[in-house]
Amino acid sequence: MQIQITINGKQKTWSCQAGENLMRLLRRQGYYSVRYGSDSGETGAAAVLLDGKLVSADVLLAAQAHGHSIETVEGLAVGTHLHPLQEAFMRTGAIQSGYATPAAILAAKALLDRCPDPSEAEVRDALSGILDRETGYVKVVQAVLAAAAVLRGEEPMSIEPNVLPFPEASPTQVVGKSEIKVDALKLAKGNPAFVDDFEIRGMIYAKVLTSPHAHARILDIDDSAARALPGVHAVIHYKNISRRRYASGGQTYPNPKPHDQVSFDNKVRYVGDRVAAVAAESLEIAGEALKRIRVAYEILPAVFDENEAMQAGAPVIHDEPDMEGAYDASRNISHFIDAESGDVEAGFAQADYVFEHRYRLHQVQQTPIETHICIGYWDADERLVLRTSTQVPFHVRRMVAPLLDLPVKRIRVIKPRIGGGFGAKQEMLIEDIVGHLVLATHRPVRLELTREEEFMCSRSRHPQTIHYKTGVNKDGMLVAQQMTVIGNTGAYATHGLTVQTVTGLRGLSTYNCPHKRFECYVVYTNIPVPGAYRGYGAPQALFALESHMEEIAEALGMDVLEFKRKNWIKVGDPLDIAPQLGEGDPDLSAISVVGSSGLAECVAQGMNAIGWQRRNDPIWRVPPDRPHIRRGIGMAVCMHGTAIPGLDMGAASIKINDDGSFNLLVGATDLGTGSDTVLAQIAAEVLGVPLEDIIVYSSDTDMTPFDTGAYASSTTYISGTAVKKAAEQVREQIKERVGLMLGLDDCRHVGLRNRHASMPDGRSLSLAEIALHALHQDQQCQIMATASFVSPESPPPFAGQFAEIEVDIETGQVTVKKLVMAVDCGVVINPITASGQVEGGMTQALGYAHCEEMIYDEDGRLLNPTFGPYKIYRADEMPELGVFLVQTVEPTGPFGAKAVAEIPKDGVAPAMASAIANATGVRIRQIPFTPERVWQALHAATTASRDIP
Amino acid sequence: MTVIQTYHRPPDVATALQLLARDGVRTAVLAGGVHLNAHRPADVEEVVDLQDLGLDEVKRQGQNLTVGAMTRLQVLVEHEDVPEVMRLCAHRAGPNTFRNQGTLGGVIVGANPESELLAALLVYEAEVTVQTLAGVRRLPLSDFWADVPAARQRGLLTAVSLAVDGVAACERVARTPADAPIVAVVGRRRSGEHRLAFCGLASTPVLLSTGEVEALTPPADFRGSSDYRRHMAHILSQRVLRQLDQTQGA
Repeated sequence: MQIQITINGKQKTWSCQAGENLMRLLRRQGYYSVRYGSDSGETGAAAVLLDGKLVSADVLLAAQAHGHSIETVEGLAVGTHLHPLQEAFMRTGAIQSGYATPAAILAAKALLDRCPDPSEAEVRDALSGILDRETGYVKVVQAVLAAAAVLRGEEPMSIEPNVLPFPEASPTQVVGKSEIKVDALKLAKGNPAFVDDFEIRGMIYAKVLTSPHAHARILDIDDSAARALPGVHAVIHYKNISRRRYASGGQTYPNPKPHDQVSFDNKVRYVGDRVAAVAAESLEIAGEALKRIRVAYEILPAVFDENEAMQAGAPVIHDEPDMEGAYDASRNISHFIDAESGDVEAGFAQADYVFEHRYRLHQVQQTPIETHICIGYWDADERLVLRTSTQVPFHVRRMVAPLLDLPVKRIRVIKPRIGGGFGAKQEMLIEDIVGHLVLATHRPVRLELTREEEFMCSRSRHPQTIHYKTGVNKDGMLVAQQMTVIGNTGAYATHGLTVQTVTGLRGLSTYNCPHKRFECYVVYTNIPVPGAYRGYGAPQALFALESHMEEIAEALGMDVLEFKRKNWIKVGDPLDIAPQLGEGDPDLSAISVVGSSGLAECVAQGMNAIGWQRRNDPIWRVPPDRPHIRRGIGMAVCMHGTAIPGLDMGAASIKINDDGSFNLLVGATDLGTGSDTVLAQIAAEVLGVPLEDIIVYSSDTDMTPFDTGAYASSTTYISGTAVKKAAEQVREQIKERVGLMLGLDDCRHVGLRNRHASMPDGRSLSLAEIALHALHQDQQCQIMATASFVSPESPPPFAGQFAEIEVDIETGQVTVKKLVMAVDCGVVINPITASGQVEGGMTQALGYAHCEEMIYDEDGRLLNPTFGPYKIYRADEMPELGVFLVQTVEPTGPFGAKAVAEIPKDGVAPAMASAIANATGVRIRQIPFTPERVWQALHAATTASRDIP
Repeated sequence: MTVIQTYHRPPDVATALQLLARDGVRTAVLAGGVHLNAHRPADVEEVVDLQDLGLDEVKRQGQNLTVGAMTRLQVLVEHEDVPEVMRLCAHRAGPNTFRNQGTLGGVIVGANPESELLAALLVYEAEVTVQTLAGVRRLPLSDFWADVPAARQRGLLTAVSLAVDGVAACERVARTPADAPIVAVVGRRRSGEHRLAFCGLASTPVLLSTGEVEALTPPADFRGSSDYRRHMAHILSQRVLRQLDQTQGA
C-alpha cells in the first residue's frame, strides 16, 4: 500500500506492507536514528514524534501514520547548526553509547515545544518512555534543563562534576578537562554509525532455531521442508557443520579450558541453546523456515540449582565423548579453585571469635539497548568481513577462524559504534553463525537477536552461593578469613573460571588478614549461560563480604565503620592473595602493594553527602506521620582492580597528517564509555594539541593495532598507557624534526604546546610546518609510532557507596531515596565521562540489588524475557544520585589514572542491605530486595529470631 | 511475523461496523496499536483503524463523565474534568510513549489485571457503550469482561461512562515506584458507601468487599505468592479505607 507522511517537514509518498511497522519503514527509508531495541515499545529506542507527540515506532503500523507528520532527529539540525538540545546533550555528557540518544532528544523536544520551563519531574516524565542502560539519567536530565534555558534565551547553569582536586596533580591542558566526547556529534545527530546502520547490496537475513528444552539430545534434524521454501539460501545444524570445540568467552589466548561448545551440537543444554540457523531473503521467510525444521528430541532430566547439580545422581550436562578439560564433568564441575595465603585453619584456632554467614546471589542480565548484531560478507579479496557489535574484535577474529576453517589472515573484524555491551559482548556469541552462513551462501548475511532472544540466548551474571567464615580477635582485628563459593556457570563454562576467580580476589582483598583462603566450585547447570558482566564476579563478592563484615561488627558491638576502617587495606599494604588468583603464573607474580588509596576520604565525603548521622536518630528513622515507614542509611566499602596484570595488552598507533593533526588508531573498543575520548585526551596532552586535532579510529583488525578489548576496567590504564607511550615517541620524532629544521644540536628543550613546537628562546614552528617538512620537503618520513603496554600491577580504585532507603514494614516495599558514591579512580582524565560511568554503573547496580532478576519455570523457561517483567529503572522513578570523584595519584597509571567503570557496580546491594538493617533491624542475605522477600524477612523476624537465613 | 494483509481506516462508525461484521475475514480492531503491534496475533488478516471515527471526546455533565474509547491515556492524565485519582491511575498505565499512543478503549479490551486505571474505572461505576449493526448497548465493565467477544458481537467499544462524584484513594505495592503493581487497591466513597477495586488478585481488576478478599486464592507469580497478594490486598484496602474516611468531609 501507499502512504503519505510529512517527515521532518517534507511530504513523502512511500510504499509499505499493511503489516509493516513504522520503525522498519523509516529505517528502510534511511532514517537510521530510529533504532531497534525491542518489538513491543518498551525500550523507546525507536521513538519518533507523531504530530508532535512521542510514540514508539516499533508498535505503530506505518499505515497508522498515513496523513500525519513525523519528526526524527535527522530533521533537527539545520545545516551545521545543531539544535540546542543536541548541543546540550553533547556538552553535558548525556551521550554514552548514543544508541537511544535520538529518542531521548525527541522526547525532550516534545516537552520543550509545549513547556519551555519544565521542572525536573516534568523532564523525567517526558523521558519515561526511553530506557537508558548507560547514563543513570542524571546528565540527560541536566541536558534537557540546560537546553530549555538556552531556548528561553537564558544562560544555562554550569554543570561540573564534583571532583576533589588533589593538590599535587600537575597542571594539564587537556587531561582532567570535561572535554566533549569525540564521537558525540554523530551520535547527537543520529548519523548512521552502528552495525545495522549500513546496508549492503544483496544482504540476506539469518535467524536461529533455539531449543525449547532445558536438556535434550537431538536424535535427528530434517531440514528438507525448510530448504524447499522459496527464498531460503542455507540451513545449518550439527549434521552439516563440522564439529570443532571452542569456548565462547572473549579471552586472551589460550582461552581457558574446558572448550565445551561447538557451533552446532547434537545436544541442547538450556532453553535457548542453538539448534540450527537459516539464511533467507527476508526475516519473514527465515522465520517461516525455522518452523519447518523438524527436530527429534530425546528430553533429558535437567538441573538448575548449582548446589543440586554437584550432587551424585544429578543429570550430567557435558557427557559428550570429546569433552575435555573440565575439573569433573561427571559431577558437572567445570572448575575447582583453591587458593590460600597463610594458614586459615591455624588462624581460626587462634581467633577469639569465628563468624559464619551464607549469602545467595541471583542471575541478572546486561541488557544493552542494542542487542547482539553482526553483518558478515565475503569481500572482493575473498576474505570474510564481520561488522559486529563486539567488545573484543581481536579475540573474535582469532576464535572464529578455526570454527570456519579459515586462517586468521582471511578474516577482518570491524567494530563500529556499539550500543552498550557491559560484558555481554565480551563473547564470540553469534559471529560464527554469520561466518558459516556467509561461507555457505557467499551472500552478505545479517543476524540480529530480538530482545527476547537477547534475554534467552546471550549472557548474564553468574548466580552464586557464598559462604564466609571469619576469625576475629576481641580488638576487632581480622585473623583468618575463608570464602567458599559455588558458582553457577549454566550450560557452558565460557567465563566461568575467571569470573569466579575474580569473586575470590575481590572477596578477599579489601581487608587485611594474615590468613586467607578461597575455595570455589564452578558448576554446570541447565540455565542460560552466565558470562562477563561489568563487575565480573565482584558485585557478588562484595555483597557477601560487606554484609558479613557488618554482621561481625554488630555481633562484636563495634561501630561498623570503625571496624571496617581498622581492617581495610591501606597504602603500602600487600595485595597478598592476588598472585594465587591472577590469570598469570602465580610463581612469577610478585606480591604488589597498594600504591594509592583515597578510601578514607571517599568514606568521609559519602558520609557527609548522605547525612550519615541521621541513621542514629530515632525520630528520623520512624517518621511520626507515616507509622508503617522505617528509614535507614547504609554504606559499603568498595575496592576493584584495574586490568588483569601480566595479561591484558593494549596498543596504539599515532601518525601525523599534513596539517599537524594526528590519527590515533586503537584496538580498544569504546562501548559508549567515552574511552575513545579519554585516549584522545591523553594523546592530545602529550602532543600539545587540542582534542579536536586527534582523529580516533577504533577498531578494525585490519587497521588498528591489537588490543585485548573493552573489559576488566583496563582501557584507561592499559590502552591509555599505550597511547601515552606512542604519543611520547611521536613527540620525540617531532623534536628531532624541529632540530633538523632549526639546525639545533640539542632538541631536548623543545616543548609542544598550542599546536606548536617551541624553543625556550622563543623560536617556534607550527605542527603543520613540521608535518609538511617531514612528509614533503627534506629527509622525508612519516612521523609515526606504535606502542603497547602490559602492566605487572592492577592498582585498585576504591569507593564508598552510601544508600538512603525507606522500608514499608507492612508490605516489604523498599524505596530507594538516594545513592551517593565517592570514588577514588586516581587522577580523573575526563570528569564528565568518569562521573557518567559512576552514575550509570550505580543505576545498573541498583537494579541488581532491588528489582532485576531472571526467573524460570520448572522446565527452565525464562518467564520474563521482556522489559517490564524484567524491571530496569526508568527516568521517572530514579533516586537522587550523588557522585564524588576523589582524586589520588596512582604512580603506575597514565597521568595518575586508575579504572572507574566497574567499581560502581559493587556497592549498592550491600549498602542497601546495610540500610535495610538500619531501618528495620533485619539482615537479608539474598538479593534482590523485592517486596515479598523483604516482607517475609520482616515477618520471620517478628515471629522468630531477628536473624534471617 | 505479520500476516496482516489489509489496513482499513474507515471514516465513520457505520463503515467500521460493516468491516467488522464481514464473515470469513479475520479482522482486528486497531485502537492505539501498542498491543496489536507488540503481540501480532497470528490469525489477524485485516485491521480496522479507528483513528478517524472521532471517538476521543471527554465530556462531563454534572457527576457524569463520558470518555470516548479512542481517548489517549495522556489526555486522561491532563484533563481537568477527570477525577484526580483516575488521572493518577492513567499516569501509572505506562511511560509517556505508551500513554501518548494507548487508548482507553484499548486498555479496557486488554483487561490487564495490573491496570490501576481499570480498577479506577470499576470504582467509578464504569459502563461501556458497545455499538453493533444491531444498535447501541450499555453494560457494566465487569459484564463486558466476562465475555468480551460476545459483548462486542462484532461491534465496537465506543465510549465509557462514569459516575465521578464522591472521594477516592489508591494504594499499591510494587518493586519500584514506576513498576506495575503486584497488588493495588483503588477505593471510592460515595454517600457512605465504599467500593474497592483490586489489581493483582484475579485475571482482571475486580471489585471486592474486604470479606471477599479474605476468601480469595489469588494467582501467584514470581513477584508475589498467593498468600502475599491476599495479605497485601488486606493491608492496602485498610489504608485506602482510612484515607477515604479522612477525606470524608471533602
